[in-house]
Amino acid sequence: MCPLGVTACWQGIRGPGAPGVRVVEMRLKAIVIRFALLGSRPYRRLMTEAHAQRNLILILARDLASRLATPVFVVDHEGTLVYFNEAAEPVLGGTYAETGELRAGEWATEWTPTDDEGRSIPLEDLPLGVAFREGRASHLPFRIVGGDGVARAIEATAFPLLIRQGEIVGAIAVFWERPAEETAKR
Amino acid sequence: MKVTVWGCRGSLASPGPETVRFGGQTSCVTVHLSDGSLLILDAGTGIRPLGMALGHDHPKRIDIFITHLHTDHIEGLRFFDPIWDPSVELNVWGPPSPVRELRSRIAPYFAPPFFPVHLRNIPSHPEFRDAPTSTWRIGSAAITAQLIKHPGPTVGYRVEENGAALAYLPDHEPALGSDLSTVEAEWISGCALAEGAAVLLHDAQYTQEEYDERVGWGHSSTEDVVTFARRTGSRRLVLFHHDPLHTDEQLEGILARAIELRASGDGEVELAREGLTFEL
Repeated sequence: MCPLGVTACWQGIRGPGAPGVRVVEMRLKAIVIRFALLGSRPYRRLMTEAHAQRNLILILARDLASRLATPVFVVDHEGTLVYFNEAAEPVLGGTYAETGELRAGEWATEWTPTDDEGRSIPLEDLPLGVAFREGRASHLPFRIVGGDGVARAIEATAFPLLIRQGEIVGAIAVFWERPAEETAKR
Repeated sequence: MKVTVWGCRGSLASPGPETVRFGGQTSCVTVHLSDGSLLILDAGTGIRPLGMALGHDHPKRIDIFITHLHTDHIEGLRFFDPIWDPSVELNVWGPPSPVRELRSRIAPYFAPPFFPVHLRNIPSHPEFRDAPTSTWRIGSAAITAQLIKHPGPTVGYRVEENGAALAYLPDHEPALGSDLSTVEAEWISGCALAEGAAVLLHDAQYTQEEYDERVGWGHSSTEDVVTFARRTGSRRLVLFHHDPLHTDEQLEGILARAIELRASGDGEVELAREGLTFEL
């Protein structure tokens, strides 16, 4: 079993019976419950008060993202958007200073994610949703409408930030715009 | 609580005539709580004279808080007299690692070829514990440990008793990747540990010129530690983890620079030295 629990997470999702799967599944259930509560303001307030300072992993993630030319989107342990970098601004059609922190239920609709056929993609099926729900990396091509009103075809890869077995402190999505012709297909 | 510095040198013990005023022992600080509990912050070489000073009258329970496993923070543990006393209840707290438990990470220091006695044969049979992620109590104090910026798993500690807080961040580079003067406080590594502390013992290993050539090594410049203390509202800043190459005279120069950098409203600033004590 991977000491970080990642292997166990994968095994737990892909098939029962692997060592430690039951424990990891229980932890993932707790994460799913937490994720389901994301829209609950009292819950969010409680968690915010308990964390006067960001987790070091999030601080390091933001430091790293702020120096990358690759668009990066960082969410905390609740799924709240806590940062996206300058490289992400042209794709999302706005700046983080304008957007500020957004709860998962808010950012999941802020950019109107849809598949290539125009069907809305729910939060739990977006790469960050999968990273939280299943504790694994996830990749998806989809479409968004930026804050500037421009529709764009993008691809995103998200992965959970696990500091210990089954303990998620946040997640990161790296994304990029697909070729212009894919945006035009719609 | 009463706080005493037993070692404040960084990286490598540096005895000699040029370091005699501030001392050459590596990191070790004691905290005597009002209920008689003894907490020890780090086990650098300063813990050896501490063990000798405690003699046979040491408490039956001792809690040692290791910030990280770089040698200068654990090298004295093997020479701390109470670990050889089977009647002592010795708890060693340390940074949680995502991979291995604390005991297995420290065990190589207590095994050949580095040491003749195996950890399992140490008479006090120390208990090794990962520092919890939330505040916990020992005796009359509330202890908080948080991961901070330094290479490898590293925590800083906050010890609070009767409304006064001691913050201990001996190896810390909060300025790595962050502009400490402008970034929001919640995004500063170690901020919650040091916030409003009556005394802040903080890494001040380098001058600004030295730091510019050692970015990422895990330590702070005089400029950065003064800014960090200001941002966290610490009332008394104690410059700690002196570079092994810095003489007493050079340390005085660093203190002069720190005083020069202080703004109105900033707390006091001084150099850590062996034997320095505070009552909080």
